[in-house]
Amino acid sequence: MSKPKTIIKISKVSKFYGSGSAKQQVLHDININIYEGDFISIVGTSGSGKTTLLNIIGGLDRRYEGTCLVDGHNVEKLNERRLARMRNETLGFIFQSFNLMEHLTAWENVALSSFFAGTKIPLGKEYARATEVLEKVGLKDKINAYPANLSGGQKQRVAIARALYNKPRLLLCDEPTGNLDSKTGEEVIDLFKALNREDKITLLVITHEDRVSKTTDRSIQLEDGRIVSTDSKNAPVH
Amino acid sequence: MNPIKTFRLVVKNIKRNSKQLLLASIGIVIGLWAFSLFLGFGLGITNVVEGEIFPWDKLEVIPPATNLASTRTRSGKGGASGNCDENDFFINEQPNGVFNKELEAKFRKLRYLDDGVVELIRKRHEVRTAYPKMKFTFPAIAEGGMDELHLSHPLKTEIFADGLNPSNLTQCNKEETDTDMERHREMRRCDVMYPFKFKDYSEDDKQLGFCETHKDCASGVFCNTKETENIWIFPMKNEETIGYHRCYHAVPVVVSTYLLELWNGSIAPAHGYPKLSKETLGTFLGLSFEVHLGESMFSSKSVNVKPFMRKFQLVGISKRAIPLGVTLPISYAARYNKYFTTRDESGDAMEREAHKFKTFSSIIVRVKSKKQITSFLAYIHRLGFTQQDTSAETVGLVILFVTGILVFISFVIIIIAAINIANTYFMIISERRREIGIMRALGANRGNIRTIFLLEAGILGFIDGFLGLLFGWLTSRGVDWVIWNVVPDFPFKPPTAFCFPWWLVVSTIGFGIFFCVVGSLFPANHASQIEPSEALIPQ
Ligand SMILES: Nc1ncnc2c1ncn2[C@@H]1O[C@H](COP(=O)(O)OP(=O)(O)O)[C@@H](O)[C@H]1O
Ligand SMILES: [Mg+2]
Repeated sequence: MSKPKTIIKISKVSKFYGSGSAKQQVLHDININIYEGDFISIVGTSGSGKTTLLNIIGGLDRRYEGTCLVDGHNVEKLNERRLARMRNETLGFIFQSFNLMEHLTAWENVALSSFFAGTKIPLGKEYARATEVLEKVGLKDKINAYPANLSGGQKQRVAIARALYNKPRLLLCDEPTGNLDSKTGEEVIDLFKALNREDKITLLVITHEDRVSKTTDRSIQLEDGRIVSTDSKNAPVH
Repeated sequence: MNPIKTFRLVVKNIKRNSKQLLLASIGIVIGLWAFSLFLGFGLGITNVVEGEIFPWDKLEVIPPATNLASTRTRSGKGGASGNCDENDFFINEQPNGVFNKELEAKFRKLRYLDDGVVELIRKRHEVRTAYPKMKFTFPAIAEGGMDELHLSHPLKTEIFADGLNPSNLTQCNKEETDTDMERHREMRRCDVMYPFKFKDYSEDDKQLGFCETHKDCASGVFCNTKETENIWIFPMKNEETIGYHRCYHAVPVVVSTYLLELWNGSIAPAHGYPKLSKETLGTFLGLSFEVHLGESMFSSKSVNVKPFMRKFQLVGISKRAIPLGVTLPISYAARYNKYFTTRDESGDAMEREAHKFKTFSSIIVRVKSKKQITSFLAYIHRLGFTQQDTSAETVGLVILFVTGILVFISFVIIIIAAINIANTYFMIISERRREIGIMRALGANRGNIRTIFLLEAGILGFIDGFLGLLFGWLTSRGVDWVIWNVVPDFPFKPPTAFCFPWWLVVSTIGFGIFFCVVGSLFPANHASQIEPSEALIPQ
């Protein structure tokens, strides 16, 4: 079995907020390697720096120390346009609070990334692709619904469809089940599992729920900006 | 970014904030409304002034200091001798037709407008048409119109008159026009309508017989019943007289559209006279009136020779006629001017006064384009002539100035409104902060974010421009309606006081787009600079 490709390589990443006496270090020399096909969770209490780390990986925050390679590219060194393009081509984001556009229908939300450079969906195929991914997350009948008329679980599934729309290789999920009840939360986790197993999408899921971290192959525990354990007991052998 | 899809997204964005944006746009709409209305009004008025009152392409070339010279001679002070010193400076003191005047003008200035000068002017590339005019150098009084205008007393007025070459008028000789409409169209096109003719009748008059009263002559032909001291009226070539008790054709005259406007706008309403229009003038064509040549209402003894009376007959309306007065064939004017010049013992006209009946008082020139006026005037000055001041420039400047101030005010409104747009967009952007973060996470770069907001502002500006223009146009309709239905008639009352050329439409909408985009430039740039990680922090 060949060694899988590294998709994310984080070395000695530190992050500070504020300046002067208010300067506060929220990440301390973080080193993480994530391989293609991984299904990893980052767990930790609120305020431990999970979101901050995810933003750095996703290129949403570039003010940090250390290096972060995503798909072989140094995020810090990419110019703003290339970085935006990479976000569109390679990454998919899923947030705790869904972050849907309230004035757009489900399918329009899903197809939003087709506006921007890096879209893989040919012109005119947007609706078809949006329908396809909505069907995948089980929302075929909600294509033209506005977010206001959807339940929390449905909203998050629209958000997942939006993240999947442009065929990403890496999904970055920030507490995707945080606003869902346990049953819908489980459904979402099952969906992630299926995406990882069937579509070979790499998943990085932030959570503070054990039941979520238990389902992942590997779990990284963060405490006050430091990695305290890397539990890979569930991980397949690389 | 795909333009059509982006457009759809942006339209959805506008719809979402429509109330906010509409409120912010009110200023822009008002500003553009004022802009289109004021500028449209300025252009409309300029059109009336340049097209009807002082046609821009019409210049009147006059000899140097004519007015002064003619007043002096008329007042009988022997003014011609006063000009002796100047004789050295003027080459064509004795007018003698076409020869190389251009060459002369190189050395000295020309003094009189004669056939040679007309020829020179006609040859200029700037010139579309040029026709000479010869004013009466003596006073005249017109009297009549009692029956035709249904008045209790005859109108009596001092008149001005000038002569014009009949070939410079459009004379329509079509015998019959089938329909009223056709006749109206003909009326608009023609200066002189069938059966009337604008021509010198002196040859025809030789064939007419003796008479006691007008009744003895045919219609349109009158009897010369008033004896004059000197019955000779010198023709240009062979001398000829209208003898005592001989029939003669009335002198055909045309009046100006300007006079018609003045009549309809001021004189008729003020005195309760009927209004005239070129189309309904048919009944008034042929109206004849007495003109007492050499008589003046202002001074009793004004000419050296005995005044005489001629019947004049109105045969048409023309833009080429003298504005306030009557215009007749130039050969009549030349003969009358000659008749009224100072005579020597043998009764001949003095040679030094020959310019009065051999040269022109002015040459009316139509230039081909506005741009060429300057170069043509330079040429005229080089020859030694000047331009009759029509005060068109002053009026034009005043209109330009007033329009300029009004347009400036509208721009102030628009600029203040653009600041308001900027404010609103700052608000909208802080509201949409989260969305900006999402779009960035989905692969939008800074440029995309900026474009979305600018495009939104551009579409808003287009809508604002359209609304401003629409309101401006509706207001102009209203104003026109008031002018026509409420305001009493005034001279040159135009069918519309406004003009909305295509470039005004384009620029109104263009300014709407421009100012909305400029107003949102700063906020849009601000939006594009927001760090995605910070935009995504839940509030
Ligand atoms: N924009 C910010 N400015 C200042 N401090 C911040 C900012 N974002 C997060 N922090 C701080 O950094 C720490 C880590 O936050 P975060 O990464 O959001 O934690 P988590 O996602 O694990 O709850 C917290 O103490 C938080 O207060
Ligand atoms: Mg967090």
